[in-house]
Amino acid sequence: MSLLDAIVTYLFRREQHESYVRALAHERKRRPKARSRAEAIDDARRGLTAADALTFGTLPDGRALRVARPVAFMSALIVGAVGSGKTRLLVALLLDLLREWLRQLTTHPATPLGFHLELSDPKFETYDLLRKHLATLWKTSSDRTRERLVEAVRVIDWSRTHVTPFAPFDNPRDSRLSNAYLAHLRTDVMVQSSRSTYTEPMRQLLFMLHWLMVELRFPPNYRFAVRFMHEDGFRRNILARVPEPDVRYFFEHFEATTARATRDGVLRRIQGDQAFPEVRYSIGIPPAALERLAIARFAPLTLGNYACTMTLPLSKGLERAAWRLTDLLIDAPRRDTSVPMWIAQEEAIIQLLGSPDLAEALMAALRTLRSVRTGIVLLGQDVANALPAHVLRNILLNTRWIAGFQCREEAQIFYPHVVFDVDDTRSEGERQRDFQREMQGLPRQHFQLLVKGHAALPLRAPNVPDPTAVAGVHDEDELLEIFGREFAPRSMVAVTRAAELIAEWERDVVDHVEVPMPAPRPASAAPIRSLADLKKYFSADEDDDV
Amino acid sequence: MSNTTKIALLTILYIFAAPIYAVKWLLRLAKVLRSFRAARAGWLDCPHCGTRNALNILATCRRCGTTEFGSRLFCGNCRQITRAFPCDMCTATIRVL
Repeated sequence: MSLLDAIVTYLFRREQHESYVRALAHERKRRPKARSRAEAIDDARRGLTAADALTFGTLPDGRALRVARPVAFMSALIVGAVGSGKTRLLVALLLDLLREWLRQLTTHPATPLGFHLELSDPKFETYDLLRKHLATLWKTSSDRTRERLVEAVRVIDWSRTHVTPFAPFDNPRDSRLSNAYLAHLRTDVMVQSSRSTYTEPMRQLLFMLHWLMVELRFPPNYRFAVRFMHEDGFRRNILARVPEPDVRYFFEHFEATTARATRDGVLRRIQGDQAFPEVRYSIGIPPAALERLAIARFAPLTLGNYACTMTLPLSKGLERAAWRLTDLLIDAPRRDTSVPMWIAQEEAIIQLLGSPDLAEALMAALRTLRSVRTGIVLLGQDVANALPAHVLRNILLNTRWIAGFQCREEAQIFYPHVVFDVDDTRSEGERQRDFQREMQGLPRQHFQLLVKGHAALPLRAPNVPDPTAVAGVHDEDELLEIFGREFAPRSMVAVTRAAELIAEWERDVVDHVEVPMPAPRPASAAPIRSLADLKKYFSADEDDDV
Repeated sequence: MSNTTKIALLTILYIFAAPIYAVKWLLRLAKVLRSFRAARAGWLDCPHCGTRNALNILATCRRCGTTEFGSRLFCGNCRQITRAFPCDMCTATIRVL
C-alpha cells in the first residue's frame, strides 16, 4: 500500500461509523413501507381500473376488479388444468364487451364494435359456447341490433353441407410478403402438420409446386397436380404463363430435378390431404371465383372451429388453424390500428409445438404486434413443462397479463408478485410451498391474475350464464339452429356450389389444352361489410353467382 | 563507465528528480483530499446524467465480497479503496479519488 493509499484509508476509517449510520438511513428510506396484503390488493385494484374497463372477476372481499381496456387488450397468457375455467374467463370477457356494445346500439345505432377478435379453437368448446351465446344475444335483441350482430361475425367451420372457403395460395397484390415466402410458409405448415413424413426432395417439390400456384393464382387441385407432373406438354403450356424464372427452370428440367419416386410420393400426399371433401371444397375454389362470391371474408369477430368434431382428423384442423394464424400474422402490420385486436389461441401449446416456423412467427408477433394494437391471448395447460424454456421465457416477457387457474409449476410465475401480510411468520420456503399447494387446489373459476407492475390478485372469474336459460329456450338445439341460420351462411358456401366452381375451373384449366391467362389480382378487393356494400356489389356485377 | 560513476550519476539524477516527484505527489494528495472532502457530503452527482448517487449504502466489496452498510468507496473488511463506481441511473463510471 502506498503512502497515499494509507492516508486515504486512515481518512475513511475515521469516517466509518458516520458512513454506517448514513448508509442505514439511506437504505431504510429506499425500501417500501411494509404493507398488508389487503392494502396491496387495493392499490392494484385502483391502479388497474379506468372508466373504460372490462370486469375480470371479483376479489375475495366481493368487489369487482375491472381492468382498463388498453391493458386488457394486450397480449396475455391464461394457464390452468382442464376444466379449471380458462375458457369461461375468455368467454366472460367477450360477453362483457358484446353486451356493452349491444347496449350502446340501442341509443347510438351506428356505434362500431370497438374491437376485433379472432378465435382459433382446435377443441370446439370455446367456439361452441360462443356460438350459443351469440344466438342468445340475437334472440334477445331487436331487429336492427340483430342485423348489426350478424354482420359482425364471421364463421370458419367445415361441415358436410357448408364450408368456409379460403384461398391459401393467393397473395394479394398489396401484400409485402413475397410469393416465395408465402409458398414456404404454406409448405412448412403442411409438412409439420402432416402425419406422413416428407423427405427433403419431397419438401422441395411441394414448395416449388406451391410457389407455382401462388404465381398463377391456382387453387390446390389433385387432378391438376397429376397432369402437371406427368404430362410434359401440359406442363410446358402452364409454365409458359409463369413469370418467375426459378419456378420455370425447376419444372422445365423436371426429369432432372425430381426423381419419379419423389413425384409419386408428393402426389400421394396431396391426394391424401384433399381426400376429405370438406378440405377440397374449402381450399379448392379458385381465388378469382372466390372474389365473385357474395360471402363475408372479413368481420370484426371471427370464430374459427378447427376441432376434430367437424368430421376431419385433428391434424387437418390444426393445419387449417396454423394457416389461418399465418395469414393473421402476415396481415397484422397492415391493419387499422384505431381498433384493438385480440387473437385468442386455444390449446396454444399444441400449435407452438406443432410447427417450429409458426412458433417462431408467433413469438415474433408477441414482441412486435403491440405496436399495431394486436394482443395475442394464449390459452393452455402445463406450459412450464410442455414448452421449451426459451419459448416460455419469450411468452412471459411479452405478455402484459397472466391468469393462472388450477396449476402447479406455473405457481412460480405468480409467487414473486404475491404480497404476504407483515405478520406472516412463515419462512420463505414454507410460503412458497403453501402457495404452490394453494394454486394446485384452486377451485374452478378461481384464479390468480398478474398484471405486470401490480401485485398478483386472487379472483373469481365472472359467471357465464347458461345460454338456454338466458334465451328462454328448452334446449341448445334451438340456439344452434339460430346460429346456423343467421350467422354461418354469411361466411360459408354450400359444398354443391363449391363443387361447381371447382369443376368449372378444372374444365378450363386441367381439361383444356389452352390454359387461360391467370386472372389479375385486384388492387384491393373492397370488403363487403354491410347491406349497402352488398347492394353496390350486385348492381356493379352482372354475373350473380349466388 | 565504472560502477561508482554510474551510481554517482544515478544519485544526482534522483536528487534532481526528487522535487518534481515530491511536487507531483503533493498535487495528487491535494486532489485526493479535495475529492474526499466532496465525498464526505455523502453523495455525488453523476457528471453525465446529473443523477444524485448516494455514497453510503449497503455496498458489496468487489475484492472480498463483504456486504456492509458503509461507504461504497471503502471496505471495512479488507480495506479495499474503490476509486470509481458506476452511476445508479446511467451506469457511466464516476471517478472519485
